[in-house]
Amino acid sequence: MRKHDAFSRRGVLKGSLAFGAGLSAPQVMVRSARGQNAKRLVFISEESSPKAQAAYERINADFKRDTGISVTMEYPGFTNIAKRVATLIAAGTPADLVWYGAGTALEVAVQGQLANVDDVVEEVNAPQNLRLVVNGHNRSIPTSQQFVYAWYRSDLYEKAGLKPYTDWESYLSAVRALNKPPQQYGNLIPSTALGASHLLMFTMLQKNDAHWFRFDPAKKEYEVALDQGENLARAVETLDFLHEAHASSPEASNYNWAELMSEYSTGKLANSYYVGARLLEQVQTNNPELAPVTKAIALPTRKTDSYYISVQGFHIGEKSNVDGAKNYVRFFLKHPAYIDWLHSVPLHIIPAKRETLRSEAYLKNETIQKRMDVLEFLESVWGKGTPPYYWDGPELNPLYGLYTNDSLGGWMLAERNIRKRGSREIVQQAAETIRKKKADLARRRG
Amino acid sequence: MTAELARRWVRFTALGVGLIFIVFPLYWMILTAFTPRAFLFRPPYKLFRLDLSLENIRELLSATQFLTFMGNSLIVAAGAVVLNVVAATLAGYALSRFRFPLKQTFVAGTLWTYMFPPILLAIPLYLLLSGLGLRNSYIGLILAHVSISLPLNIWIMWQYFQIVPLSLEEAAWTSGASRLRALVEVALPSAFPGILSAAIFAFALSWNDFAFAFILQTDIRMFTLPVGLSTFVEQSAIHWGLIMASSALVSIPTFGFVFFLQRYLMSGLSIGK
Amino acid sequence: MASENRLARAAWVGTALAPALTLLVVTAYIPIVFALTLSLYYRTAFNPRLVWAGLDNFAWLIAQDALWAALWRSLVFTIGSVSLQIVVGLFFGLLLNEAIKGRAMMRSLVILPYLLPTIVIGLVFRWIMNPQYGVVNQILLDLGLVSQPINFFGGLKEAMPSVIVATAWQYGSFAALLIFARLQAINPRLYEAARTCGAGPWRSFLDVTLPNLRTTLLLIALLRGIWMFNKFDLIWIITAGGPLEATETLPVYVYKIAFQDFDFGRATAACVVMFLILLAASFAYFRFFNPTKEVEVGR
Repeated sequence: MRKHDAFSRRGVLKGSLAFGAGLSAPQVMVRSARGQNAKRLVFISEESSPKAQAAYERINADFKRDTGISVTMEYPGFTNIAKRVATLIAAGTPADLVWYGAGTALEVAVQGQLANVDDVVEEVNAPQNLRLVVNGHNRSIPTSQQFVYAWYRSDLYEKAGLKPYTDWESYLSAVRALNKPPQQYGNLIPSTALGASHLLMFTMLQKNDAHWFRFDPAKKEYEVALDQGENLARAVETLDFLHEAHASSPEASNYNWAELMSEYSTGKLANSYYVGARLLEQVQTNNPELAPVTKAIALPTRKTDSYYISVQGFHIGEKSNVDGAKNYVRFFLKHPAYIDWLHSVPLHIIPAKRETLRSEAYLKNETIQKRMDVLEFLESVWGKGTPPYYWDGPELNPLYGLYTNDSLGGWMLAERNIRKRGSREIVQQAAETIRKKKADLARRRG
Repeated sequence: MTAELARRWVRFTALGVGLIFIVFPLYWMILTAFTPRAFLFRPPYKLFRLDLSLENIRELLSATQFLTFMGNSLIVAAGAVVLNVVAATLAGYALSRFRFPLKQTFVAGTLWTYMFPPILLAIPLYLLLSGLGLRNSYIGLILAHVSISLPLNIWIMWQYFQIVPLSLEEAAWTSGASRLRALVEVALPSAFPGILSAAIFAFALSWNDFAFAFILQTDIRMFTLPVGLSTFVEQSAIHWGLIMASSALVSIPTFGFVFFLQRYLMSGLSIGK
Repeated sequence: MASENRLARAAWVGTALAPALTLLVVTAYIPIVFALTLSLYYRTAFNPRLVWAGLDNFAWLIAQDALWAALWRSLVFTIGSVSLQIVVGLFFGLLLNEAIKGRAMMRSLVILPYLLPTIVIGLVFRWIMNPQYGVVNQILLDLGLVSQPINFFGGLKEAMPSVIVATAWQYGSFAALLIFARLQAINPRLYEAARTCGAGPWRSFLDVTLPNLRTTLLLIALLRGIWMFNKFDLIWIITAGGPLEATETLPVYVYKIAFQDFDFGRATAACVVMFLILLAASFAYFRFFNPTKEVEVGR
């Protein structure tokens, strides 16, 4: 083998050319990929069900007719939409419009990548608790919300002579009484670093008034508070509570949203939960007999009856076709197909405004009419929830991604229920993880 | 001869048991594809089922974009196969018949590209193709697939041409044929099983690919099968019936394709002496 | 060929190599160099600016316990999976070598897993191995082999072996293919000779079959080893690195850095580390085993 080839003059020259090309490539790529078009909008939507797609098509066609702007849709799917947005920004071609969770958009907003939408937010009079204010301006136009609540089998409760639970004690006694493995389980406590687990843990922390961060008015920033004082005690309590509940659940060490619904549809669960009413819709299709006896209920309360709200809305990319996008949003919210779009998964996508929920157009839907009990439930808990980035203080918490991105709440449940470590050390380790990430972030930004 | 007979029976049974392990997941996939949705969430399941139903397949073909996904996958795979076969065959021929400077570097270089993790190749490739305006296109995805299959195919074709004896071509040369004609009429037919292996390898890599297709194809109308299938697994529902139905529809033609070609495949798939 | 002059030969080499070279440069070399240089910068997805980091990304990586744990798991996964694939390959390669009825059908069945998209395989395995509604556990319980369902992909101890078996299911057929083809090429007279010398089936396996298979097996080990070390999609689809990182191999770890933390600088640095490990392993491999000897046919 003629090894000296690699070190010959030509070899070195070629190598450095390649290296230089590699170094300059990013700048070249980023610059050439820019250039926006006023007659075009790229709209990325998290919701891609066929009915939603049909609604989009109607609205886009009418929009094109009225303004001449053509809208290109993209449906990357729920798990991948954040990556899609990130990749587009990285390539210098940010999307004009993205419809997805405000919580996910927060990351992007904090980096200054979302446009100021104060005007539209004021025009549509979005509810205060659903707004997203970053660097002094609104960055999100909320259209809908979802929150975490529970579903239970009323027939099983009746058969066992039980009343639906209200607080933590009654919840535990109910799930224990209804736990007859392996034919039937009391509830499902997914314990893994994934979204379903994390949201459950978060909501129960909210019920116990435990906080992740604390706002320091002097430093004007958020400090990790999970392992301090009252929070530590409450967090430990919450973890132990979910550990007790896990004794009446399958191990569920790799379960996420899909398995929550699949498992419930098999009829083996007496209680489950979901971030909305899609569970009901799935049960209706997969195991229709169970649907009438599947009832909505709030997760058990303790110190508060707060819950986790997931806000979805329109987000407009900074340095994109901002005006066109704003006009589209205005058009969308006034278009009759907006209600059809809300109906694509009835009762699951909850309108941002209470008036819309009570409006005739919204109520004119067969599924909703059949399940007015769910609607009444939604009314009864309206306004009691908080988005996670407003949970720890009145100011927006931009550090909320530090424990969300890798589902730290789910990790805590996994450590407690699968690895069976002690609650206190888990909570402390979680707090330390968040602190380390915060320091790492500061070091690299500063 | 009973020892021989006993040995044959042992082999047969061993093969049978082995095949059960290979085949059972496929069997269950097809059975689920034809199971009515009402039964999919009512365990325990029957291992054999007579009340089959086409409803999953019907829903798949009418209510989803499965056919679009299938078409896209086929187009991209065909493109990847063509580029691979042409480039690898020519390169393999050159490597085996000529000596030239930097030959070892070239060979080592192709093996090194094979070693780079595909998942991260996707990002720079994405930026590169975006710059060239090839995002969300067939050509872009075909090029991406070629990047992961070409290195190994060059190796395969190089090995094959080494096995094709030079004497065959020399005979053609002495009869007055040009190098090109000798290549086309003598060397290529002998190396045909190698070409087939290269084609199958390129096809498999393209057909299976998820990472590149997901990152490069942004519009649902350009999705290939793997990405399309992942849309059946949304936030929420896993439509097992649909997924198994689409998996079954994907597998049956592949099975037919393999069954007819495997004769050619087997007859010369020897790497090594 | 005496009539060919140097220019014609150069033209031949040039044209023949041109397609492959162009494709490789455009689709592989340039992106690889780009990714390698990216590892020297701070680059997160949301901020297109590039800030020079020097070796900081690497320093951070090496200090992470998670990296070493992932490396260990990668080794376990690679060695376990490749060994199992070779076993499966030998099993089917040898058995199918005999003339049995229905051999063609069986061979097609054996190859089929290799040609299925990974997502199909991942989802099918998730469907059949689920502890609550999966058919495998149902059969195990009915046959009385276990009293509780086995949490194949969710159990801390069960997840890695289960994932290894899943990849072996998919790729064992590739090994079987290559082994089978090689076996077909063994001169039958070698076996006759062995038999006349009084060798039994086991002896002739050791003395005739194995030496001839040596090259193929080594090649399978090398190629599959590289591929399994870099394997990402099947593990991600089935377990997403869980439960509690039990199946978080290096590629999964890198993916999480790239697409959960959105840190491309560190992710590419981790890829460089993986690449260097493979490079070192390949050099050692070639040195020890010398799996391919080029037969000089050209001039």
